[in-house]
This record gives sequence, C-alpha cells and structure tokens, in this order.
Amino acid sequence: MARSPQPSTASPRQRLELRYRDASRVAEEANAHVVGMSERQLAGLLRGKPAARFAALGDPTSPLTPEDRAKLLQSLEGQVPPARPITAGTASRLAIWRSRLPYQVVPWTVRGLSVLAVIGLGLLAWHRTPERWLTFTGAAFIGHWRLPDGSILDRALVPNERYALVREEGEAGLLRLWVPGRGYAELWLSLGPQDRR
Amino acid sequence: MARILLVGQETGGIGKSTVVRGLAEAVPDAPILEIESVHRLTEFKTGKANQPGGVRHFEMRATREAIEASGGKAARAELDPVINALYAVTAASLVDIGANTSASLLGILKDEAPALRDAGIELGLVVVVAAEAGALADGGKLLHVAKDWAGARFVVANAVRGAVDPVLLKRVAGDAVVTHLRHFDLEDKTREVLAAGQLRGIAKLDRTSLTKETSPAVAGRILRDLTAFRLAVMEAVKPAALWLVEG
Repeated sequence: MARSPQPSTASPRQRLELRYRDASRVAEEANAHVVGMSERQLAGLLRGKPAARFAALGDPTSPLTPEDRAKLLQSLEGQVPPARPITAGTASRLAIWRSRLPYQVVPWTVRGLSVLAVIGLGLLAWHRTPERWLTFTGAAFIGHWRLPDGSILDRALVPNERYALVREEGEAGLLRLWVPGRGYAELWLSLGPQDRR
Repeated sequence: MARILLVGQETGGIGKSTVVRGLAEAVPDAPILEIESVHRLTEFKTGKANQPGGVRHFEMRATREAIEASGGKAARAELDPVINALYAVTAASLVDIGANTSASLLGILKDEAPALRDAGIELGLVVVVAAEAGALADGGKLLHVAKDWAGARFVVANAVRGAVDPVLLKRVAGDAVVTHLRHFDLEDKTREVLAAGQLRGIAKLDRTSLTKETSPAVAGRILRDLTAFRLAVMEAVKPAALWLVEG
C-alpha cells in the first residue's frame, strides 16, 4: 500500500495527520474495491437467468455485499418456478388421492373421531353403572343367573345382602353380580312394589 | 518536554494492546515500553532504550496475587527498571502496562511524577474500558489516581463486549477525553490474518498474495475489514496521539 511522501519540514502534528489521511484513503480504496467487485457481479447476474441468481445467493465465496445480495434477492421475487404438479407419472395413487383431499381433512377427521369415542365411552359407562342397591327380606331363594358366555349359574339370593340393580323395566329389575373368573352374571327379577322406584 | 503516554487497565482482554498498537500506527517512531508477564508486542522490533519504533519488554509477575505475595518492597523493586527507563526517555514514548500492574505502577508514579516533570518528562494516561463492571470500576480508579499528576487523561470505550453504558462511562471518565472504538465482527480468516501481523501488518498486506491464498472475494473482504479496523483504532486514539506528538 502506497504511502504519501512525508516532507521533512512537516511538524509532528502534520505528519500524524498525514498518516491518518493515508489510513483513511487505504480503507476507502479497500472498501471501494469490494463494492465495485460486488456491483460488477450483481450486474452480470441481473442480466442472467434466475437459476444463476439463486445459485449466487447460496454461494459462500460470492463477492456480493449484503446490500447487493438484498438487491439480487429482490430481483427474484415472482421468479420462483411453479411447483411441479402431482400426476400419475410422478406420484402413487395414494399420494394423488391425498393431494385432492380438502385442506386439513386428516387432522379434522382425527379430532371428530376422538370426540365420538369420548361420547361413546361416556354412554357405555352410564349404561354399565348400577341405578341403585337392592336388599331382600324374608327367606333366601335360588336365582338363575346368566353368565356372559350364555350359561346359567344357580346361586342363592341372600336376605339383607346388597345387590346391584342395573335397570328397571316395568315390574322387573335386572340384577348384576360379579363372579370371579367368569364375569358379570345377570338376573331378571320381579320387583315388589316396595322395591320399585 | 518529552511526553510519555501510559496505556493501562487492570482487567485483561478488553483491547489494551490493540489501543497501544493503534497509537504505534499513529506515532510509529514512538519507542514502546511493554510491562507485561508475557511479551505480546512481537510485531515490533525489540529495541534498546529509546530506539524509535522499538519495543522493550519488562517482565512482570503474572497475577495480582503473585505481586502481593512478593511483599510491597519486592513489588516496588520489580518496577524499578521501569521507573529508571521512564527517566531515560528523550522522545514521545508509549508504555503498555499489563493487566494487574497498572494500579501498582500508577501508585508509584504518583510519587515520581514531580521528579519526572523536573527532568523534562510529562506523563499522560489512556485507560481502556469495556462493558464490564470490573473494567469500568478499575478504569475509574486508575483515572482517579492519575488525576493530580497526569498532563492529560483519555478513555477509550471499547465496544468489544457490547456498548458501554453512557451514564456509567461519564461517571467513570469524569473530565477525561472519551473516544469510542466500535465492535468489529471479523470472519475467521480475517482474524487469522490480523493475529499474524496485527495492525502493523495490515499496511503491508498484499492483495495478490491474499487472493492466491484465498479467493478474490475473500481477499477483498479481508483487506476491507482490516483497513477499516486499523482506521477505527487509530481514530479512537487520535486525541491521545495528538497530545503525545505535541509535547
């Protein structure tokens, strides 16, 4: 880097100011060189095709300054190639079918099914919950309980023991009893007036 | 009257040596006394006393603890060669005072300044501060110690660790002349080139060689960034450099 000649008669202050002018000039020249190189590159790219401009934006060794990079980016607005259409030649039948579905149909379907499942489980729980407990007085008697596999289990209904009344239909009531290893046994029974609701 | 510009800061790593190097670019003939645990200003020729543009290294203990452990007298004796070198100064000179040494040396100079003045030597002080509580507090102390005997006091606020709070800076600097050095975010390769030659090497950089080593674009950016950095450092020390040469 060339330096300004320093006259021997100059004062220390003048010599110092000269050094500052030199440093400033050198910095300006270096900056102008970078700016000029960038401008030339930008001009060439703007004359070329969009593909070359896209490539220059991704090139880490490109001499473009941030300002010129922004100009280049601006020049590419609206130049993005259209998305490739999905055809039988480029995608599977499933992909084509999915591409034609309305926007967000899958997540909305999942949400709908989730709501239905929650409602169904709620109804099942309500259906399975006993209405109240029933207790008998008087003598014990044998009841013919129907097990889940359709077989009949004879078991006595004992006075003062609590039985779950699942449902009432007219004068009859459905009792339920847990049989370990076999499941819930059910028994239809005529209810006396005092047992009805 | 010969002037000596002391550059100090107790906290390390905030750009004190950069400021010394900037002063050396502004006043290249000024001999440099480097008071450091390790010789850092290696880009300058190692000189004898008062050799224009040369650097003379005075080795110090590395830490404040080591200095204190040596006892007050031993610490004072360690700085005797420096004091003697200051008395021998005949032209505008720079003193780079390493971290952990500034407070000790300025404390001694408080007593020596009148005698130095009688010997035709005037002292000035440049304190480098950054956005760090320790550096600001230490900077304030150093400026305060030198208030009565320094011919001029300067503060370079280095944004290397972010912008320095202007209110704190004003409180620390008082009536000292304040300048700012902006932060430079240099690329790795640029840092490498700077580390190899420091500010003195920037003026000697050759575009053709750099281009061969890297690429035209990278070489251009290295030269642009480093010449801008050199200019910014020189601008930050300009008031102090002017004071130094006008003695």
